[in-house]
Amino acid sequence: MIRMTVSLICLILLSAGIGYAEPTGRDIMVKVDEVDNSRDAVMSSMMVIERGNSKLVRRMESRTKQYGESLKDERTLIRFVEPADVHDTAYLTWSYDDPEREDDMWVYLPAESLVRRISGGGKKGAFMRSDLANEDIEDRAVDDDEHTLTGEEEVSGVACYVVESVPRPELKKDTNYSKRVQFIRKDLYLPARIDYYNKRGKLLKTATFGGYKQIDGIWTVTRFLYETPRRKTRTLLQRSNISYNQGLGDALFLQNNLMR
Amino acid sequence: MDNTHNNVPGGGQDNFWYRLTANIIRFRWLWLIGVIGVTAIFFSQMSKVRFDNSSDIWFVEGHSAIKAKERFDNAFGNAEFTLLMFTRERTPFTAENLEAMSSLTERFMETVPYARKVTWLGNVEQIQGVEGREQEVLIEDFLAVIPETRAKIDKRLKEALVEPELVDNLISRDGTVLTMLIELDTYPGEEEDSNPRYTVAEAVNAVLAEEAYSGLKPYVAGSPHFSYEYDALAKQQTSKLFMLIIFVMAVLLLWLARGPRGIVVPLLITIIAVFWTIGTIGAIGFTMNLLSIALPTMLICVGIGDSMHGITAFHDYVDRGESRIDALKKAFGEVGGPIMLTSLTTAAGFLAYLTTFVKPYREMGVYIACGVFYAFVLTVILTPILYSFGKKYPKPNRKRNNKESAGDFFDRWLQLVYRVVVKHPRTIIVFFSTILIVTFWGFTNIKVESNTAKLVFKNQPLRQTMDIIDERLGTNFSLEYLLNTGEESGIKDPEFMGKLDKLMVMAEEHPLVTKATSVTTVLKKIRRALNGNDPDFYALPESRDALAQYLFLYESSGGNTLDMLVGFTYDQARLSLKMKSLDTHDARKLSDFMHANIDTLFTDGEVEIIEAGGMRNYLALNDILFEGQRNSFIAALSVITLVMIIVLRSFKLGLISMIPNVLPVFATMGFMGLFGFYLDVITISFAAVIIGVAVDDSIHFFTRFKSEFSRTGSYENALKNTLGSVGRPLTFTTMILVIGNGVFLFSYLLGFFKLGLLFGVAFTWALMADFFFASALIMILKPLGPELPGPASIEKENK
Repeated sequence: MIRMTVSLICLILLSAGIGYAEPTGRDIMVKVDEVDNSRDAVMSSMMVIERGNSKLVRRMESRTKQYGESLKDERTLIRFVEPADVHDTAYLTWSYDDPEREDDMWVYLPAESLVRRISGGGKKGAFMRSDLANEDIEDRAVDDDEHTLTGEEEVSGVACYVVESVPRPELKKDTNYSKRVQFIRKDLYLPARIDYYNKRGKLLKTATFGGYKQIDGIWTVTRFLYETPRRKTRTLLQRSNISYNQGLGDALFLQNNLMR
Repeated sequence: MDNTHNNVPGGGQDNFWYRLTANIIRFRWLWLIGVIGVTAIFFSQMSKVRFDNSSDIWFVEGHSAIKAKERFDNAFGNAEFTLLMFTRERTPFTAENLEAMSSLTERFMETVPYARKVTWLGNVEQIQGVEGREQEVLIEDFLAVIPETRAKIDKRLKEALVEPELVDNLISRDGTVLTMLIELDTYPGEEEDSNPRYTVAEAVNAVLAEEAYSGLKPYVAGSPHFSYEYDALAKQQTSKLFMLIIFVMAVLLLWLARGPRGIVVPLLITIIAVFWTIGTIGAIGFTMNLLSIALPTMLICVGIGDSMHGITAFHDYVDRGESRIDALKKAFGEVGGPIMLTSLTTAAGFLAYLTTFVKPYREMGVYIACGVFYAFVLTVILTPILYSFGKKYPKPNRKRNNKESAGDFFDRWLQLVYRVVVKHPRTIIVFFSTILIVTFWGFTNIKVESNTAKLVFKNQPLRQTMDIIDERLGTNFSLEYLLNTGEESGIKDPEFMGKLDKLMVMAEEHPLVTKATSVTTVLKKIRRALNGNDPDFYALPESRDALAQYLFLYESSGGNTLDMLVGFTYDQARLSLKMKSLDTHDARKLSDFMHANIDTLFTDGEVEIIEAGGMRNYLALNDILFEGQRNSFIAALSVITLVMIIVLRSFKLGLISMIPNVLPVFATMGFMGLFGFYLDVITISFAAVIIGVAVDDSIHFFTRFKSEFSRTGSYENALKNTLGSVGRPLTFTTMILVIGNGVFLFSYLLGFFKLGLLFGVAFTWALMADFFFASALIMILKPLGPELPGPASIEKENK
């Protein structure tokens, strides 16, 4: 009798343990957010935007540094290399984890030798005529969405969690999407694919991720392919020359130094 | 005039038609089953018919207007949009209503298929320098927060009135109208959505019907709604007019064709012919369009004459005491040939439409040719069958059966015609010739108005919406220019931008243009904003790099607005002009003005310039309608003349027979040209129906005249007998057509209203021309040679 009771308790504990191993959607997204724990990062990016037979190429170099107590605030400097006529044009953004605080942004136009602080600005617009919206590239706080784990699925032979992320009601106005379905790799906690659904609940575009590399100990996605089938457009984003924790100085991220 | 069939020996006894009719009557049940079977087959095809009311219906594939539109859609996306207009008086601009509008934008994005972006004053992004802080630029929704009080709202709206980008676009010049624009993605293929415009219009209507938006009373415009409502109106009109025309004709037939059978048979024949035709359209995969609405009526016009001639001839034989079956056989033996001839001539006339490049004309030509042929087949089969049932000897008309009486009203009318022609042939010729010459001159001066927007009567909501846009915004129509430099980043050249800007400014100064937009407005505005709102900086950047960098700034902050203004690789730019509904004449003047400016600005041909937009389409439509109408008219005329000469076996008589065919066309259309009335799309399209009807009259008249002349040898007696036999059914059909088409006067579509009027006048002229003008010409010209000595001539000499 006692043996039976003990084995029953063991069974209950075991099953409870299995239950506990199953994370929630939010747990997964927190882990995704924590993958990049670098203090700073340097990289080159190339963006190829295709529409029918036409092609636009954009190349830029970016530097990022984390700030704040928990390193959740971020300063980013992007300097454009190509096309040649915008060479050296630069954007500097200071973004804050505190949802109440608006980001600061400065732009530098070399042809007019002019630096301006830009406040406001929509998130829904396309990023440089690509398939990416501005909201796709900015640092999105985990709790801007409600995440639900809806299942598991293989993407290109890799096991993934399927997480549905629906924006919080008060943020609905600032987004193009009714939801995003994220396929998160179970091994790396990096996305393998994201399906974006428009406000009518129809699939709007798909992002496929690849070129996973471990750089300076941090797993990094180096290839992104965004496709919008309805508009017959696609954008390939490729990152290279990535290095982390180089000890970037603070002066780099000051507006006074934009006009270098 | 008494019943002249008394003089005709046996009609067309024992010819093909006589034997065919005998066969049909003998095996009437078999023939009837055959007709029902064929009808069933065509009926099953009717569901396949599609209705096409896109503005492209007019252009055959490969037309420059279609190519220009394709270029535009490729470069700048779907140019169609839905426009909501909120007028202050219907939707007061209260905080509550503005909040509702704000949530409406979100709701549209959630529910309206293909919606790409919804813009109104509330969410339009403004880029501005910040007062007092020169180093700062603010990008913000114009009404980021809806002000709480009316005074604050009014103050903010007033501020909008100084922004050139917003005025005439999202707010009217006087601040009393706010608009909301739903931009649309490229529509999917036909297999996914057979009518995306309907999908959009229905979704928009569904949202507006929601309780939350009951306070908003917008006028809704734009291609999807226009098309949706126009089609609904047109469909409702089609059935209404069709029922009405059937009713009116039934009443007339009841009087003219003696008894209920006289109503049922002609109507049944034309209705079945309509079904067969629509079934054919479905089977061959053609589409119905705006013009096809009139198809049933047109078929009644050209088809009803067939059975009328058969029935009248039948009654003539009955009145002469023939048995029912014999009367039928003789009647059809007599009229079968002419009916076939008229049907084939009319069909050939309409097939001549195939020579034009106007798609609906070509389709219409085929439809009517088909319908006319079907009506003929059905007439020769169904009329004898349906008349074969009943008493062996039907009751003759007492008045007409009595040789001593002067006959009924129509006989007396025909006698009057005869007397006038014989007594005053020269006066008649002078009278008609004058009309012919004057109206021919008018015909050459005819003007066409191809703006379909104004085809709807003013009391219709559809038209009211357009009139309000015209009055309050003045942006009903667009004229678009695509400027293609042919090379990547070609538009970043300051010289090019300077010229584009100049062209835009010139256009905006033109009194007919309400608003001109191009990327240069945006550039100037950004530059001013980045320079502390200093008006001196409201100018284009001077260097290529500066231009590129401002564009780049806009590109990275603004998003898809840029796609509407410049090509993807900065190889092409767009200049968009908005204007009131102009008539075709003014539109052409504006287009010419633009072309002249383009020619002076872009001299060396390095820039390819394409004109498109709604207004351009109307201009192109105008050209092809005018040309199409002229070509089809000439083609139909040639074909018919040839047929008449062959049929009458007389060159002279053939030519004379054409005079009554062209006179009604000139007399009506020439009249309009003379007095400066515009012909619209619908009216001009159906001009050929006038010839179609006129030619039927002439064939019956002239073939009978010729046979009467060879029998009597006397022009006067031939005329008397002709009027006495075919004069009666000709008068009947004309009356039925004039009064029947009168129902078009009840149409909400102005074009059809005019058509009703035009047809009435034209058909009357057609009959008058046959009866008076042609007769008088024959009396004077004697085209069949000298009179022959015969019993009739001798009789005349004795008098």
